[in-house]
Amino acid sequence: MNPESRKRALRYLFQKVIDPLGYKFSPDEELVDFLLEQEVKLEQKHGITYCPCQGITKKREDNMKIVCPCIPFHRKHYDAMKRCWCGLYVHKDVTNPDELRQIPFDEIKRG
Amino acid sequence: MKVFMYTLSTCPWRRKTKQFFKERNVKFDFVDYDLAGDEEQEKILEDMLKHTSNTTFPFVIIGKEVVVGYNPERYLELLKKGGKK
Amino acid sequence: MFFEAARLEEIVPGGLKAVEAGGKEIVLCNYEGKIFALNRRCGHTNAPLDMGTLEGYILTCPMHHVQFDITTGEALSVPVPRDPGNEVIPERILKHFQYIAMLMSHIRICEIRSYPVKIDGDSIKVDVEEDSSCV
Repeated sequence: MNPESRKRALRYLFQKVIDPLGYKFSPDEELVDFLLEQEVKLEQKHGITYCPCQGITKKREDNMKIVCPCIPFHRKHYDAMKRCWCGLYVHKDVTNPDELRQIPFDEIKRG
Repeated sequence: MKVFMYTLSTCPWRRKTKQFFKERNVKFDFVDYDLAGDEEQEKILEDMLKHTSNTTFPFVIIGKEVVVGYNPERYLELLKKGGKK
Repeated sequence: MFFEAARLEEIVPGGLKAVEAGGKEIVLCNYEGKIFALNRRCGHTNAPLDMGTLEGYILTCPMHHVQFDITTGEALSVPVPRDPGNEVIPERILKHFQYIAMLMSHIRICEIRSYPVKIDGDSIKVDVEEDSSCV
């Protein structure tokens, strides 16, 4: 299995999913490449492209909520940050991803 | 001031978080959740879920305060409170 | 040798069609108007790829969801684990599943053989070597 081919394929597949949700791949190419590389490794290990920045547990139900792209399960959270948790995806209008902070969901819930 | 963190070996923010403390010569301890054994993972989750509602990393404890997510401004704030520069 | 496999109008973009040409089982794939001919059998456990799904240039096998690049035939991913569900499985059956899983962990995913395609008017022709193998 060629990791570069898999990264390219994931970009192709994910792009189609995130576009109608209002997201795009982060303009930070280095970050995107690193995250996709990690997802390929996770996929080799678990058979599934899990988010590289969220914990996999023994509960399948919870794990399904962090399968990339996990945006649909975290709309309120990610829309408030204009990015997904690991930063692979950002809102379409974002030009400088460094300005976006990782805000814990509890902080957003509190409002 | 004690700094401890739960991180994921696959997460890029883990490196940035460690770098932040290293650059300021602040000692810290860490555990990579994904590289830990089953039992240890259970314990880590139990600990994390006392302070937050989901399993997002990095999870940093500065003194008694918990910071979820890479947040250099908050780290600085808490370190200053604890008397460190 | 080129064999007629199908007519262009039989496969729309995004479509898959199983055909036989020169004694070989082939799946024809239409990627944005361009036709690709690959061996019909998955490089993992021989499942019929024409019953899978095609997303652009990525073909997903219906059996274990291994993905292949139709332009090169290379395997892109590994099998996706099944949902074990919440029901209690009888010990005897569980042992059987575990045995099968162990055997399957020894399976290698092979790349899929692809065949040259020539479009002649509205006829799709595939270049196949006639021999006794099914691959």
